[in-house]
Amino acid sequence: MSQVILDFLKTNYFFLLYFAVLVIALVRYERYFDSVLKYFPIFIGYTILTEALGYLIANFEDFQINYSEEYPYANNAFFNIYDWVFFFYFYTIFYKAIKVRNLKTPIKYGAFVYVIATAINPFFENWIIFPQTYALAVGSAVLIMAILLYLIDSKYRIEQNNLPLVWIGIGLLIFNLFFPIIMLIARHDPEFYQEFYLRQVHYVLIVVMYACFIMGFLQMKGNFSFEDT
Amino acid sequence: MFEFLKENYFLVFYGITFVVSLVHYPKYFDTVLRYFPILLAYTFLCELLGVMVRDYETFQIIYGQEFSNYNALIYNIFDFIFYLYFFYVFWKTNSNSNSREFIKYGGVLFVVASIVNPFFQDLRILPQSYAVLIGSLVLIGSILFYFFELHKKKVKLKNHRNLLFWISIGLLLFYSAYPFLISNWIWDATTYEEYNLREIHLALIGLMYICFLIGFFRMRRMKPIQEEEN
Repeated sequence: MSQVILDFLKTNYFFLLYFAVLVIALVRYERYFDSVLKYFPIFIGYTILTEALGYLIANFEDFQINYSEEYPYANNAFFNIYDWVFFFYFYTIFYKAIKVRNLKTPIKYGAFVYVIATAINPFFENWIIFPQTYALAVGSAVLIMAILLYLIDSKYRIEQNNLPLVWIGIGLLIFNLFFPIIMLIARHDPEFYQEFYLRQVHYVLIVVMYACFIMGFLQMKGNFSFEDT
Repeated sequence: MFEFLKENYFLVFYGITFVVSLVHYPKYFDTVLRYFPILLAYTFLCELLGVMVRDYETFQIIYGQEFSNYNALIYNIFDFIFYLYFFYVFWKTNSNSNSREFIKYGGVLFVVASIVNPFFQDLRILPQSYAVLIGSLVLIGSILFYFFELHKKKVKLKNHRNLLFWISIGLLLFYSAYPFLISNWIWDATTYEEYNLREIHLALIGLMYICFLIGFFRMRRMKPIQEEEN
């Protein structure tokens, strides 16, 4: 019995991780309900739904979006949509959170570049079947820039309680430094990907990112509101 | 994919209700229902797990020839948490001391029933029909007490703008039938099959979640917890 539970956790720990983030985000919601993170629980909920759909598609034959012989179990269309939401959500958050005007504008232009990249990418990679690796690389680069700008910007203020957002930034930073590289390798050099267990690396990165999210909410003291950002 | 979703349409209801509950979260984040989205997420994940255990050979909790595709364990744990959560919600909301006593002792009775029940029905393969019966009765009782209070006290918030009111209606609809459906499934499987009670069961879930959804869409800001206690 315990073996079965262990096996189950081994393959499904993501859901537990997302669930943990959701729980802590809702428990702490009172303290940040009028901050830029207002819609963070919705984002986590959307993540859970996307993962559930992806899981069903990847594992079960009769649950598919495309029935091509060549690429069965391709669940990337949902993740491609998810990536748009992901990047735009976090661009918006950091854009709003930054106070110094000069630091804001690069994010706007960066987002624009990302839109162009996503519009061009489907011509090179089938949108339904493959992850959009080039768009991901651009999106991650812009997000990293946005996070760094935010960290610089928040240095200007002494009194603050933006720990959740700082931790979210750190988690995203770690994840996005490696994620596009892993995706590019997976797409263009699958043997290397297999050999160095990059899928495991990818999973570890996800765990680290969500652990950072949880840390932020656990560590926060006092309230986090629009004035603080 | 659509075939699968059509067959398991209740999964779609769970998913949609979960997301909608988060979208409207700013309207009730400091009320007694603040952890409701967690319960909905838990429901969704449980049902996902339940469907997979039921439909796919390779994915099992108990491995044994005769018990394959049994997902009762998941639902038994789920039921236990679900009832206790709503006992807590109505215990917090109701201010009448009679009603609070009723929920308190009813809750204790339910916990005792849940502990005793596995000796009669294997927790892993059968639904716990006695515990479910007691839990449903207590839940219905606390909902009726809640309605009575709403009726007596002139509350500013109109009923059709009250999230908890809609949730209560949904629960009342489902949980007045649920124990009978479960008992029927255990003791009289032929009528269960004959009258397509599974379809009715699923339809009732759909109905309950439609009530929840209406509640979320029509709700106005609820009173925070502290004010209710005064």
